[in-house]
Amino acid sequence: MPLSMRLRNVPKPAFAGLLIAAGVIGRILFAGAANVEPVLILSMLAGVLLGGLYVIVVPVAILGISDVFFYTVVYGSTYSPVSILGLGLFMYTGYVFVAAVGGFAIRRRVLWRTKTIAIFTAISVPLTVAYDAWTAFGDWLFITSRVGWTLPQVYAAQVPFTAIHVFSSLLFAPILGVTFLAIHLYGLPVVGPAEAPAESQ
Amino acid sequence: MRERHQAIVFTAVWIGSLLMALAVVSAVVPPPVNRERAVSVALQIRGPGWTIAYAGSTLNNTAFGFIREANLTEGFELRWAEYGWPYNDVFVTSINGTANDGAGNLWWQYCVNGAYASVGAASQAIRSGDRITWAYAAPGGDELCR
Repeated sequence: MPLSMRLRNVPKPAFAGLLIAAGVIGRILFAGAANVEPVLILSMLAGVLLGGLYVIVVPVAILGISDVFFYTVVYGSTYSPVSILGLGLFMYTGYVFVAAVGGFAIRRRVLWRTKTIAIFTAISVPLTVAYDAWTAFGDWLFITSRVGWTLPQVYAAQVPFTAIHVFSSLLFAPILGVTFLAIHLYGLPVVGPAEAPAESQ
Repeated sequence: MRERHQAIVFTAVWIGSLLMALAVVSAVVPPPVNRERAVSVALQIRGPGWTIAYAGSTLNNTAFGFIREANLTEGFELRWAEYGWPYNDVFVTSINGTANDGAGNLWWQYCVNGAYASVGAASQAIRSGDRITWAYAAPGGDELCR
């Protein structure tokens, strides 16, 4: 039977599943490089392409699944439950905020245009800075204030990490943006039996 | 045609932005330590109720390189987590069976010549005559190593 490549529409739950899978794999894959991560961009995509409850579901699922890996395999018992839950609260809400703002900013302008990806990439930069400012505050509140750091010290130490995070967002925004925008608008390529040509009357 | 022109301009701006961001990252990350021989270097590790001392000349001239050398020579346990690009540094998590304890706020920290560390152990150069102290304590400052 002859096979052919077709584009198949992806329903919203399956599309969310793809974003979540990409986020979990990407977060674990890039764990060795501090602040290089695709979760922020995938959260924005959840807001832009899906909206609604997916603004919460996608980032929370990515973090929840990958956190199980990090806090059991990588960090072990290094951090106390209070620190994990406290900092986690800021990370989860940070990504949900990013998804919500991303969706609010360009939800109505989702077209297969360079301009869409350019706006998406540009917006990712201030959102990355806002996310880092929020999570650095959480880090200070739940971890570093306990060891005598002041908030300005934490923000000063955060600068190199934010520079790396901005680099990460600039890198991933067009790559993931183009990929998932194409899947959203045109479908996922699948291989299946070729359709028989319509019979002529 | 207009769309293609926009795509080319966007790609150029994107690559330029990535290079600029990389330049900023390179400027704010500590440079790697050059490999040089350091003579008469002394290491002291202060655990809860135990102390390990080690001394010698070394080509492993970073705070982490020297404790790693001591770990391989003396045979005590040493564990660490690695940070990849762009820091290429380590976070020591356990020495001689004593692990960092977040709940108790006890961590492995180090000083060089009595001064509390300001960079990661793999980015801290050591020179001839340096005294490196690793202490297991609540985070503090220079007083940890006195």
